[in-house]
Amino acid sequence: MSELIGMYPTWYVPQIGTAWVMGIIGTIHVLASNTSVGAAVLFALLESRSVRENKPEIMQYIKKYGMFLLVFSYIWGSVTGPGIWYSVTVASPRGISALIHNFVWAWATEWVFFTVEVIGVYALVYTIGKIDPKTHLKITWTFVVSSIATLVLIIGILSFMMWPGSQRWYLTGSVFDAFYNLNFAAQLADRGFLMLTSAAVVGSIIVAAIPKGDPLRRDVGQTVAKLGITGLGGGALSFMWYVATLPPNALVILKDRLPDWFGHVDFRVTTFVPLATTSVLIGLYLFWVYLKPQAVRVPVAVGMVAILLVAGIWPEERTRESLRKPWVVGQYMYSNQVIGRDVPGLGIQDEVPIIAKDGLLKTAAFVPADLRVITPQNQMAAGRLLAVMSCANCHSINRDGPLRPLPQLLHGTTDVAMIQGFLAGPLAHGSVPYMPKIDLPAGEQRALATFLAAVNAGTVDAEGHLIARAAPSAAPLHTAVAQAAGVQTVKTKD
Amino acid sequence: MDNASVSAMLGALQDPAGLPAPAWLFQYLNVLTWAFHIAFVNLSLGTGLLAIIAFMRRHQPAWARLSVAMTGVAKIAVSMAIVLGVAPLLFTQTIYDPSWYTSNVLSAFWVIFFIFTLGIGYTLWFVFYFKNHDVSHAAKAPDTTVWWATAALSLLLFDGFIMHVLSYQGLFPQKWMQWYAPHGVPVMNGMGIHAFELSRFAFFIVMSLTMTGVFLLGYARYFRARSDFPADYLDLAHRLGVKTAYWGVALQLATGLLWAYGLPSYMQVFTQPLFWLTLVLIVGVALYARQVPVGGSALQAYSAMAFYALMALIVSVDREALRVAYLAPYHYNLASKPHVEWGAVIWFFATFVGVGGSLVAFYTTMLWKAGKVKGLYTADGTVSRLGDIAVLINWTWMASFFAIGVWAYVRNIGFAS
Repeated sequence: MSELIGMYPTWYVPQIGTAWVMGIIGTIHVLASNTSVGAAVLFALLESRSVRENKPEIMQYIKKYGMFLLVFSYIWGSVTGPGIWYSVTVASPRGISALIHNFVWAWATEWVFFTVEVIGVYALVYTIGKIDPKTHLKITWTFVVSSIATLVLIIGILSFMMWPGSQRWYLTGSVFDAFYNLNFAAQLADRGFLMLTSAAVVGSIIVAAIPKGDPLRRDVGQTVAKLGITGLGGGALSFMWYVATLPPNALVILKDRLPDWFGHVDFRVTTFVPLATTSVLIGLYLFWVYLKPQAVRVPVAVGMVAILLVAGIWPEERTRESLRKPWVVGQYMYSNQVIGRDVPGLGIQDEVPIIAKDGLLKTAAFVPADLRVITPQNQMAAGRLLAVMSCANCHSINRDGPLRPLPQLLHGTTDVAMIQGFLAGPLAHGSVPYMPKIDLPAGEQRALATFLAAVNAGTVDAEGHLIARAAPSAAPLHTAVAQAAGVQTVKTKD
Repeated sequence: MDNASVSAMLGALQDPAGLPAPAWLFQYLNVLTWAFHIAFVNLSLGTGLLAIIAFMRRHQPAWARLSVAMTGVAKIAVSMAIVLGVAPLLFTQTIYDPSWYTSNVLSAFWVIFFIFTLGIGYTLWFVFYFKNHDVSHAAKAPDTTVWWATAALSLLLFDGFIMHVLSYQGLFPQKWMQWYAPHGVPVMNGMGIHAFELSRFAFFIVMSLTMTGVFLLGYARYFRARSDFPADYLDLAHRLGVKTAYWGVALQLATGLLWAYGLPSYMQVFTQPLFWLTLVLIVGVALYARQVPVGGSALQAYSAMAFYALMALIVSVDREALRVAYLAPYHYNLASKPHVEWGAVIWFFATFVGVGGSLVAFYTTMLWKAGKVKGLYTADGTVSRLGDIAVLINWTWMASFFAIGVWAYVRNIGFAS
């Protein structure tokens, strides 16, 4: 029997794919958690001033914002936090498993701070005006340090997902080498600053809820705006630092997304324009809050939060996810969950040669017995299973799917030999910079190509069901082979 | 699948990175932290139910007050249940990765459903809280208000069921392939709920009554110190506590025995000392609660909660023992590939004891003392010192974190990328 590879069953989501499920939950979480950490810093600054200048009225703002946070961040933030875990668990079980087994102690340490943070936020909000100010300030400072601790701990893990940045971790397998990687400090700075901006934009809702004419509006509104603008400026600068710490494969993808003056070529609209526009818009808004705090209205502030979420965090998170391609963890596990290099420090072996020799169907743990050997009768079913296992994490299989749809990338070709040529050529040799090396035996290549050609022809749908009606004629054959051979970046929806 | 094939599959699915500490350490932590988690799950569901029942009787002032109080307790308990659930979730994935991940993927739709319904359920509870947080207005609230709470509690209960399914399915590796690909055709929509055990699920749920019962005993005793809490209200809370604990224990016995009868015969559960110890502890909670006098000493009242905690801990041990027994035929080896890194273990425990201990001690002592005072509380010397120590330890942790970072970062840079 062939060596077994620990591939889990696959969860397949038609159209949007599992990536968008993770992305949607992740985006909600990022807004809620960023706001929480940024707000903790804001609370500490405001409360210190309240005690120093004897301005107890400032505490009313903190109380209102704190109550808002309980619902906003401590319901949806704390639910979507484990929610990300759950969604990654079902979308990329080997990916999350790799992270857990490397970083279990870092995560356990973060959990200590989470617990402290949850007790802390209730203590902070519900004891305002009920305990002496000096003691309350200690609660606030412990809350802010604990909140920042949750940030620094998760950044070590997120940045390792991009890459370790040196060969050392591969040789030692040490969690400290993984955690304090090349990308860590830059990403920490970037996120840290942008959290202040998140907290300021969300905090402007509470500013707008202060009665008009109350001097507290100006006092707090200007502090909130200054904090947000500082975050935006610092975030822009540290983003450049962040870019400088990215691996070469990420820079190739980034070339596609940033303008020249960022040090790369090709101005593209997919990421940079939305992010730049949103940043400018939010900067102008915060400047307006600073100048005219009395004029801010709740609907406007809520609208800005929505813009931050949809046009700021969503494209930013999607870009960060995309930049890792073709890897998902530490440049040793591909986004299709196959291990793509040795990690001697942990005794981990590259699985690509095993698959190349015996095939994915023979080696993956969860393959029905009938599909382990390809026959003319099961070729289509085998091809579909291969497509889902190898491709669906990053690509829609549907013709009109929004996630880099395979039929469009293959330009609708129905030529099995041509698709197989692509699979046997650039894909098997790993020469497409943002694609995993997928080196399948000829029989599996043929089955996968047959299935993809049938989807393109419209004779089979993405679920593998036969479609009775006649297929429309295929698009002109600008084939994937030709595309890949020229290493022309195929531009599609990302 | 024969046992040897299942065993090979489990071995292949275990993460190739292995375990960064001895497996027993994760097992102990899993048991301990799951007991913390279930305590707050029980407290949220039990006080949530009581808040609803009390709301229906809100025209009597003591019940109105009880409804408001329990609504607030449930609100905080859900937060604690969520955050304390993170740790056992983490440790389960570390040592039982094949079970957890396979079960989750097979029911992936319900996993995602869980996330959103937990958020919605919790939000609905907050809505109920905002409508039912003021004793002076509670009696005037319209009847329809209770639907917010009912909907919230129903969703939270269903979420508990999903968690039960995810844990339970993981115990049957011999069936995973059949669930994934019935008749040889993979079903990848994650819509399936493949296995559940109602008596097991019910056992954990009715434990909520036991927890709420002993909590009420502590609650009634704690607020005796406050002059603004009427004695008849606190007496009601105490009596209700004893009665609720009785019901909880009776239902735990009924569901627990049903569960035990349904276990595979090879486990010989009725011959296991652990089974009988659990039984004694469950009954012991009721017997102990019964003898706590109204207005009795603090030690008597709070010990009832300690009794529940001990029972919950042993139930957690039972749960782990069962998992080991279910997987035993497949020779599942928790410690198949160790790569122990003691530095990281020390990092966690130092934080757990140092930071967690000092901060939780500060918060709880301060809240404990402040809650006994009507009006402004001014910290005494102990709370003030605890606060100073907590702040100092917190900053020291942060400084150490970055100091380690500089050392590791410099070491990494020495290597060419």
